[in-house]
Amino acid sequence: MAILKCAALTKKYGRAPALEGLDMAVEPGRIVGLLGPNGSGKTTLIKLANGLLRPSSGQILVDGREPGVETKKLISYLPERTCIPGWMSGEGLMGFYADFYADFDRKAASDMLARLDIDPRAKLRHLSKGNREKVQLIMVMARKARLYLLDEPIGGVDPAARDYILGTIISNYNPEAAVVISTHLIADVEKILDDVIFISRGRMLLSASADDVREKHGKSVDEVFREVFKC
Amino acid sequence: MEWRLDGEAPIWAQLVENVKRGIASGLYGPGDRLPTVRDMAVEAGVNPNTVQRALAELEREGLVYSQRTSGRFVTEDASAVAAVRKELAEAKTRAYLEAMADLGYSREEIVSMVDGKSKKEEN
Amino acid sequence: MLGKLLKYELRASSHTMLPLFGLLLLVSGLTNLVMRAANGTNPPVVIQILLTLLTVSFSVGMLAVGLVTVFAMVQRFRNNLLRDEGYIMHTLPVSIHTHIWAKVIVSGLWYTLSAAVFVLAAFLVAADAEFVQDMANVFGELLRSLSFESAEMLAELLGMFILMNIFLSLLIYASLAAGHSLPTRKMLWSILTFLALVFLTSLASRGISSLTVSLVDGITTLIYDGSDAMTAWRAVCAVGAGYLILFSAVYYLITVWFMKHRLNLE
Repeated sequence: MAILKCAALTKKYGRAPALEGLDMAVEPGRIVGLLGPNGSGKTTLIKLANGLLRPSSGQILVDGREPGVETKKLISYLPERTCIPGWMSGEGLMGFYADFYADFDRKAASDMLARLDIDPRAKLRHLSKGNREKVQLIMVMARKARLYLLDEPIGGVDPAARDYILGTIISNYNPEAAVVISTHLIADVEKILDDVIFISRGRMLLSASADDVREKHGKSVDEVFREVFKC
Repeated sequence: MEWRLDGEAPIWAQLVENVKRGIASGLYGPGDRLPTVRDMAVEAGVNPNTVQRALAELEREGLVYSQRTSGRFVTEDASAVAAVRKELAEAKTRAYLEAMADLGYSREEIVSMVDGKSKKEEN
Repeated sequence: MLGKLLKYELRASSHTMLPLFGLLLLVSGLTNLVMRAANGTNPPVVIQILLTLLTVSFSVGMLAVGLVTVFAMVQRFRNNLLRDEGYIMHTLPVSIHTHIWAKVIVSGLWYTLSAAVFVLAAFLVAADAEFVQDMANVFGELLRSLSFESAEMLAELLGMFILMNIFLSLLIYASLAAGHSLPTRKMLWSILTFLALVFLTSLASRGISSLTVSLVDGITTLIYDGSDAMTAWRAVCAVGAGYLILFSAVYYLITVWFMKHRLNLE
């Protein structure tokens, strides 16, 4: 069964539609790229799946259920912006995640922090911006969730950080879980994707396996994306 | 090993090429155990499912075999390894000849150039 | 989950509240000491200046402690649930109801503590050996004369205090949740919502009391009659509690609705 499923999903802000009649499904074990230019509705879709927004019409189901307390146990979410509380230390933050999520692997998290040489006793507001971003990613990836929703994980980071982030996603791969990565930086992520979904102005343009796209067009997904979204 | 991946061809096919290169060059010797899917995926920076698919293709071609508990190994069949080596060498030669023909070189000029270059390197 | 939320709520808010309380108590203690030092004829100028400074800070501190507590609780609710941290809080496997109750309980605790610190600071300024002796006598007297009825009155006062805390918190939360559902000028809209809610609440309570005018009449007669002061007191408490619970419930529903359906984290 699909872990994430949308049927005729529509979300309007006032009158302007951010998503219009979206139908899609994400299966467990897949790493899916949610690709589209800025403002195409990627973040809206991810917020709907997290229950941070409500659909205007249509349906979004996580593991067959509407977003709520039960589905939040299954989803590990990396928001677009860094928002871990600065007054906590890394140690405190791990305690926080362990308190609220039964699937949080504290040992995995502290190993990942140690590998980055981040002092778990340091207050998070004293870390560099880049390290705060990494700490937040580590908390998200250290959960054994069923669905990871990563909103622009590599937007505005340097190439070394990007490699670290993508490496962390790959090394935490779990065949029972699905990973959705929203981004407009296709070239950087396309090697780690199983499937790609192109969305534009709230509508789906394409949904296929990444290798099928390359095989069919004889081009990289990035080049196909540039053609589809040519200004 | 150094993974060479470009955008155009399907990544699983490029991974097959890369592993074959490793086998032909002796990096992965006959009977050697290959890295796990996860390690290979992290090293090459690609999706683990894609690595899985590439390894399945290599198994189908008889270059790799898997043992249920201990992982995947390079074939011990020396003739299969030799065949891969030859296949890759021929493909490289074909590509070289085509590129030289594009530049307008004749067969004789190419031979003397290769000859001259290899002599220079010997000295 | 409520217990876990309370734990983090307490930790987060104590970072701002404890230093604030500590500072006020320190200033009042120092004022006390300096006042005594200045108590002779012709104290040195330094002491006089110090005393003026401390007296001013003490007065400002006493005036501000309640307001600052309210302000800190507003900031806490807004930063934790309506801005960036909301991305983490609202994706925890915790219902909106639990979130709101955690905030109400911890705010109530800080309001109570700030009232206690206010009284304590006032004592600290005035305290000397004689004063402590006097207070001990007064309290001893009070305890001895404590009847069943005055104990009940104290309990009822405490209950009213708790209900007023809840009422105030939920009034603030409803205003913030509604104001922050809008795309821009969230704080301005929150303040306008607050004023509108206060206005509507006073209109509604007048409307309701005119309906229950006979009840109020009954109470007034009882009070002025003086025949049974305790019954009158109980009736006043019951009516007051009724109002507080009714309006708190309305604010609660407003808060829940906006956070469920109109959450707007930017």
